[in-house]
Amino acid sequence: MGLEQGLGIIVFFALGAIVGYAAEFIPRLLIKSKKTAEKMMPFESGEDPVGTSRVRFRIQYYIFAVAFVTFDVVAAIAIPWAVGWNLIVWTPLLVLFGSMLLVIGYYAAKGELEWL
Amino acid sequence: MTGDFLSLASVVGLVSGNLILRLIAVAIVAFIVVSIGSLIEIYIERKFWARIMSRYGPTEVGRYGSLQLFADAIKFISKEVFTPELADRTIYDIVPVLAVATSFVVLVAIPFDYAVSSLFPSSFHPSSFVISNFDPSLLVAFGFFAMEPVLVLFGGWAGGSKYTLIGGFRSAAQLISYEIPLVLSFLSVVALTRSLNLFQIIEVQSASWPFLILELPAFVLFLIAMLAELERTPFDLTEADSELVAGWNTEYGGSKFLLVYLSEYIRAFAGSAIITCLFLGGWVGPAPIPGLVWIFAKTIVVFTVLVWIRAAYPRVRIDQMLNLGWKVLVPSSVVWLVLTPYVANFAVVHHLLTL
Repeated sequence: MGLEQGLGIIVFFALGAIVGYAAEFIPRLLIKSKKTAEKMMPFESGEDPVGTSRVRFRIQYYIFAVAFVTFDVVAAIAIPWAVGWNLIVWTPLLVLFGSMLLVIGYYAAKGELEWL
Repeated sequence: MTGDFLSLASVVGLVSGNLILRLIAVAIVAFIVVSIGSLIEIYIERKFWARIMSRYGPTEVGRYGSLQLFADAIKFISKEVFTPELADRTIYDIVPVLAVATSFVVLVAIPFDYAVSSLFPSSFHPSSFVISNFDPSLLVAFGFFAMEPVLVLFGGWAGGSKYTLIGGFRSAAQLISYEIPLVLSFLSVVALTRSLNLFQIIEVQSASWPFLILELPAFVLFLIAMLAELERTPFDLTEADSELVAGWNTEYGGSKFLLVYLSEYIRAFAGSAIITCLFLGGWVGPAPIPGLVWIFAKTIVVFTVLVWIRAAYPRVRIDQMLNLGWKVLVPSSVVWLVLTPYVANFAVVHHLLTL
């Protein structure tokens, strides 16, 4: 990947952002907004909102996130193996894959992957 | 020679000489392709889906309801823009723009520019216009593809409503559960061609059997993981309209909703195009029809299959979905990835694959 592709990514991103920003900004100039209390309150099926919406979230999301981060490293290590499997030793990758499946099996047996 | 200063050849020469101009031209071409693609996609989504369910879909505006999409877009843009009181203003405003921009960057890696430039044989030489032919193009595509969960989580948090927050958390759990099978199943195509360049993967396929046949298990796994990544109906828990109103984008209205919607269809188009390039041979097809038509038509056909799946299957529950991801897709994609070198050797020996 050279300069051309790096600049290409920036140009694509800039074009997308300009189009997006224009679509968000131009209506703001043209249309006058009338704020009412009902319009500005968060949607809760037509009721008045109860309590805060910034609730605490369950620890289970954290467990999924940690599992993802760990196994994504394994997936990232598999990328060079997939490109050059005929040139390199397979053992480290097989050990990583085996331990990943073992850990998923352990998680599943312990019931951590069950959604409560 | 000064007389034809504004002729096509000189414009082409100017554009191919200047790097930035050339990149902007490529980006505009990609934007036109993806806009036409999204319009066709939304029309298919509404009309084909409706016909499967014995409804009519849009009929009133234009012939067969074909102008309905433009009417919707005008309506979205002409609505007032406001930010709910409890929303986190900066993040709330920036998420739709970033969603469109990051989904659009995925198209850098997809060889639509080659397909477009090969329509102009002599004056517009393909190699001067093509930027998608670089080495880890698949990684770039999936890198920007994987930005979405962060944006969805931010958008859900910033919306300031309970529905958006639950939608955002669900989306994060869902997308990170399906990221690993997605990566491992496209890696088995990479292991077959030993290249991370979509361009080369298509060129290998043009000389051998399409990978849909050689890599059928990987195709099935990739399709399921891609459905989950695109948040389409068997897995659309983030938007589950019967539970969460509209999921993480409940609080977005007017032109912001238009942007969220647009980014979803750009992602769907890019995802279908990646499936096309990896498994269905990209622009390769019988000769008189140009490559652009082939890659575009294949992408639309893949998207139609996604709509068909959407119409045919009910939404899964979140525990079923996570079970499918962790206990079925991850182990089977690992097993198939380790088996792929043997498949590759077998295919090379039997002349099914030419490297």
